[in-house]
Amino acid sequence: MKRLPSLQIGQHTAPCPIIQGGMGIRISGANLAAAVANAGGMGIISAVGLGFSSPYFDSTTPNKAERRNQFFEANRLALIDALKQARALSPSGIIGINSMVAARDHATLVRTAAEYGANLIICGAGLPLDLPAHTADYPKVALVPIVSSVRAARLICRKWERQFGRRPDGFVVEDPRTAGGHLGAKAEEFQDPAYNDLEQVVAGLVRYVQDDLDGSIPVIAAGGIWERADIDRMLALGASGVQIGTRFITTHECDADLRYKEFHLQSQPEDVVLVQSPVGMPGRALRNSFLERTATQAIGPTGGCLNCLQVCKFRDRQETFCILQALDRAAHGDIENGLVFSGSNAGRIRHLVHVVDLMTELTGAELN
Amino acid sequence: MSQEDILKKVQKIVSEQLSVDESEVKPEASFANDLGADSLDTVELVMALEEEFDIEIPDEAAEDIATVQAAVDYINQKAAA
Repeated sequence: MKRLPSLQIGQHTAPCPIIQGGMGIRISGANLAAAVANAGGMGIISAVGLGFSSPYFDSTTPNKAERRNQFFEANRLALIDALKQARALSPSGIIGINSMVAARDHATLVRTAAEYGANLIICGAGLPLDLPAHTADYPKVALVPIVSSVRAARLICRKWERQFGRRPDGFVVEDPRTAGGHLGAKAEEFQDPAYNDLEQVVAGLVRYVQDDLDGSIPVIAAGGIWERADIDRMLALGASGVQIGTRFITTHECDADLRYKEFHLQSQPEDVVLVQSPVGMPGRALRNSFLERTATQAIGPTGGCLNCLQVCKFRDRQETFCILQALDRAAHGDIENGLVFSGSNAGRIRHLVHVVDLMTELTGAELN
Repeated sequence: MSQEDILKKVQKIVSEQLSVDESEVKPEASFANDLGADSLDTVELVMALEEEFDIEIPDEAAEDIATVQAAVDYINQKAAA
């Protein structure tokens, strides 16, 4: 098998063109990110909501304002811990974070990551129009928006060039028809047969980068990437690399509880369903009793709302569910009461593997 | 610039950005509800207005600019300041 090219994003080069997708809450933590970085890819810590189950947060704090402040401070402190831990496990690997634009403390988390040595910052769940403002003091930190269309990429470039005099260091193009977690388009849009598939958007974005941006920005394809053939297909279209999420869940190094991984191992393709997230976008997840219950009732937080999102359908309209606690429960292994995000390829693997073996399978080469 | 001139310019930009006929761009028209703007359209529109009138529209203000008249009022007030 032909050796894959390396991947350069900003000032950072990984031997393998594979970014492990950020998966929250605490699915891709320090352990998984470091393992991927050590195996030659780029490891991504999901920065969202890390404080909730950390020692820095006491959910029984009686005063509401105090409890909220404590939660956001806990998110920051727990992110610092995760970055330090990942760096200790992978001193020279490429470690980044994924931050949701829709999270209320997005700017703080991005600043914190830059300050504590993250090499790159990948942002989705909204347009990261102000991202460069948060990392202005850290020019080595690569900034990578996640987009679902050439139009969104163009918009981000226009805004960044005008306001900050810089461009993104890479784009992750995520296909909402196959990706796991939050999706960048409404279901009625991407279920339309006329909706551009990943190949079309990748090719379109590569063309835009070549024609309008001197070809200087790597395009990373994401959504439904499972095996080496998928990577080869994307590289042939001009992508510089791929982002893979779901496949890294069923690894020994993934930070989620073993029951979370086993739930993935036992799932079938038909268990992958769309769910309405309180952030106002659809998400892709595994069917479970939690999702069945949310079909008929809203499921709020226990211990009070922490106001964690900019827009939240539960907080504002008592619809859907508290996603912070649903994801947190799942990561702890409470599968029946949690939200288990997943890409469309769930069910294609039946046993846990080590990250290094998965990377070898994907790249077809032993890393020296 | 008079309020009327601002309105005319805004109408032209909105009609170009959203590919709608200028006659549909009435002052009371809502970008999302009447003129079919999606979330990216709204961001593009705000950026086009910023460029045309050489002003900065912060995100918080942009969220409140839902109609043609709201855009005109905001620009008018910025120009006066």
